[in-house]
Amino acid sequence: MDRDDTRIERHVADALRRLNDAAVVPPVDDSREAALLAAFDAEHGSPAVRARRESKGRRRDHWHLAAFAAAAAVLIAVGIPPAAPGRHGDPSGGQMAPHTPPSSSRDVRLEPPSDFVIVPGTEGLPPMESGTLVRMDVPVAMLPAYGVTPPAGRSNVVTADFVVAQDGLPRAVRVVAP
Amino acid sequence: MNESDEKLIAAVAAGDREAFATLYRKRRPDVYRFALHMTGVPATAEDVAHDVFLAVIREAGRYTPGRSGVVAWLLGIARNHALRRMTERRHEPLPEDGFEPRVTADPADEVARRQAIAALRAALAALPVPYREAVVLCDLQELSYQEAADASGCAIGTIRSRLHRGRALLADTLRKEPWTETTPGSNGMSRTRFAG
Repeated sequence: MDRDDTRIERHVADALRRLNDAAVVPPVDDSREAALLAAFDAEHGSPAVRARRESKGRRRDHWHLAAFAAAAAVLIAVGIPPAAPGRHGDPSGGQMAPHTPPSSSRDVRLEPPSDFVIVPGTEGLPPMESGTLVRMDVPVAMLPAYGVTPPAGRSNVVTADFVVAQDGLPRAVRVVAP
Repeated sequence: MNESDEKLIAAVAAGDREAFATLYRKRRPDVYRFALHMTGVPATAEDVAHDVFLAVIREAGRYTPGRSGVVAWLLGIARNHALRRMTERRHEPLPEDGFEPRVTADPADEVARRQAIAALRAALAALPVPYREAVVLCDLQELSYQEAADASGCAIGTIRSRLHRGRALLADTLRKEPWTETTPGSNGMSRTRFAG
C-alpha cells in the first residue's frame, strides 16, 4: 500500500466518522412508543390483565384445593375413602353409572360473539398481508379506544378477539364474552 | 435502570413491559442510525426502527445469548426491514432532514460541512447494498466482523471482503470528487475545501 492509498484510507475513515456524527437521532416519538407498548400489551396482555389472570389462577387453585378438601371430609364422614386426586376411582363398586346429560339449569349459556369492528385509525396502515387471531382479556375501559362500545353493567374485563396484522398492530376486534 | 441488553431481552420475552420500554429507549438510536445510513431517508429509518421493535415483541424469545450481541441481533432484523423498504420504494437519498447542522461560529464552514456531508451520504448511498451494509455495520456502527457477519447472515470472510471492497469503492468516489480535499483544522475539526 503506497502513501496515497494510506492517505485515502485515512480520509475515508475520517469521512465516515463525520457522516456518523452528522446523523442526528430524533427524540423518541411518544405516539410511536405508545403504539409499540400497545402492541406489547396485545402480545403479552396488559399489566392489569396479567395481574388479574395470575390472581385468578391462584384463586382457582385455592378453590380446587378447598373443594377437594370438603369432598374428602364428607366422604370420610360417611365412611367411604376418598379417591386420590387425578385418578378415576369407582365408588360404585364397578357398576357403571349411566351418563346423565347436564340439567338445563347447569347448561353453560354461550352468548354469540359480536361482529368484528375495524379499529379506528388503521386506515393509514399498510394493507394486511397476513394476520393472527389473538383472544385475550381486555379491560372494558380500553374498548372505546378500539371502537367498541363497552357492554353496560358487566364485569371490568371482557374477552375479545383481535385480528393482528403482520406488523403487530390490531386491525379489528370483537367482544367474545362480556 | 442499567441492565444488560441480554437481561432486558430475556425480560421482554417473559412479558416484562418495563424492560421492553427500557430496551426501546436504549437501543432505538443504534437501529435508527443503521436504518438511516442504509436507506438515506429519516422517515424510513423511523419506520424501520418501529418495525424492528415490533419484531422484538414477538421474537425476543428467539434471541440466543452468546451467539451474537443484542445490537447485532437488532441490526440483523433492521437489515431485513430496511432492505424490504428499499425494494418497495426507490428512495432518493440526500435528505436534509435528520442531518441537522451543529451550531458553529463560521457560517461558511457550516455550509461547506453540510455540503460535504451530503456528498458523503451520496457516495455511501451509491455503494451496492452488500458493500454499503458492510461499511455501515463495521465502520459506522462499529460492530466486530463476527457481529456484522451475524447481522448480515453471512460468513465472516464475506464481511471482510465486502468491507474491503466497499471502502475501496468509497475511496474511489471520494478521490474523484473535487470536494474531497480535507485537512485537519487547528481545533481538531476537519476543514473541507471545495474546488472551483
